[in-house]
Amino acid sequence: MAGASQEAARESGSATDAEPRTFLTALRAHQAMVFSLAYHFLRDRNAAEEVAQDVFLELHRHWDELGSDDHVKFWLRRVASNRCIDRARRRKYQPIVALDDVPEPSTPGEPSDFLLNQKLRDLVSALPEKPRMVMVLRYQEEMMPEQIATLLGMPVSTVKSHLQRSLAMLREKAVRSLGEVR
Amino acid sequence: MDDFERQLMQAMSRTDPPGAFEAKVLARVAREADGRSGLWRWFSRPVTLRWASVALALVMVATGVTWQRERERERGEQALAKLELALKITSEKLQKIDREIPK
Repeated sequence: MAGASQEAARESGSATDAEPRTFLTALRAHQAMVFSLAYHFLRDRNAAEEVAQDVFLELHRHWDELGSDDHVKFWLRRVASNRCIDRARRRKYQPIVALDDVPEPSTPGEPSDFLLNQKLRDLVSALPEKPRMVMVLRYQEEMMPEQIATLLGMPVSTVKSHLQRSLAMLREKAVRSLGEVR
Repeated sequence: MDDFERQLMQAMSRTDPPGAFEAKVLARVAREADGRSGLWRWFSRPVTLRWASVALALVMVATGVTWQRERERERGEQALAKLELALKITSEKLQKIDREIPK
């Protein structure tokens, strides 16, 4: 469940901009963003917390080099993305199940939003690392392909291709398993 | 953006970190700051004392290296002396045998 405080901070960067820029305000404003990036990517709360803590520790080390809150946010997203991908590669943090092996829901008919959301998160977590991070940044952070390309240091065309292919795969899998998805 | 993408966006909405996340991060920051201050204390000693520590460390390393080399040289000399002695004994024995063999 998304935290109200984090949602508020997410909606209005200006709310935090009004406060003096301190490490603590940045930590409070962006902890949900960093944790969620890691959680949606790794699908493991402990691992996600560990990554998020590491990212903020790194932020503290580089605090004096960073300027505006936008700069801090960009830096956090980039470092969090890289750390998640590194961790996945290092520990072979492969998705718990391959995309094609995600089980069909046991109850036929209209699934609740909770189940549907759970299913979609499982499908995303079964994607390969780079496309998975692209999807998390696009649908969690609502970033445009150009922004994602800058953040991950890859061509915009690659980002768009990852998005199209991943969406098509997810859609197909979701339609097959849930039937109701438009 | 279609319904599927909107649903995806809802599924991927942000999640709060576990409780005490903020406290844990601040504790790690404080621990790191403590560690750094220990190192900083060493660097901020008076220059003479700092260089004296470095010089002492260098002298100790140099002494260790010299001592090691000297030991190796002594071992080499001892081995050579033993070899010479062995050759000398062998040579004497061979001469003795040579004398005793009837010609």
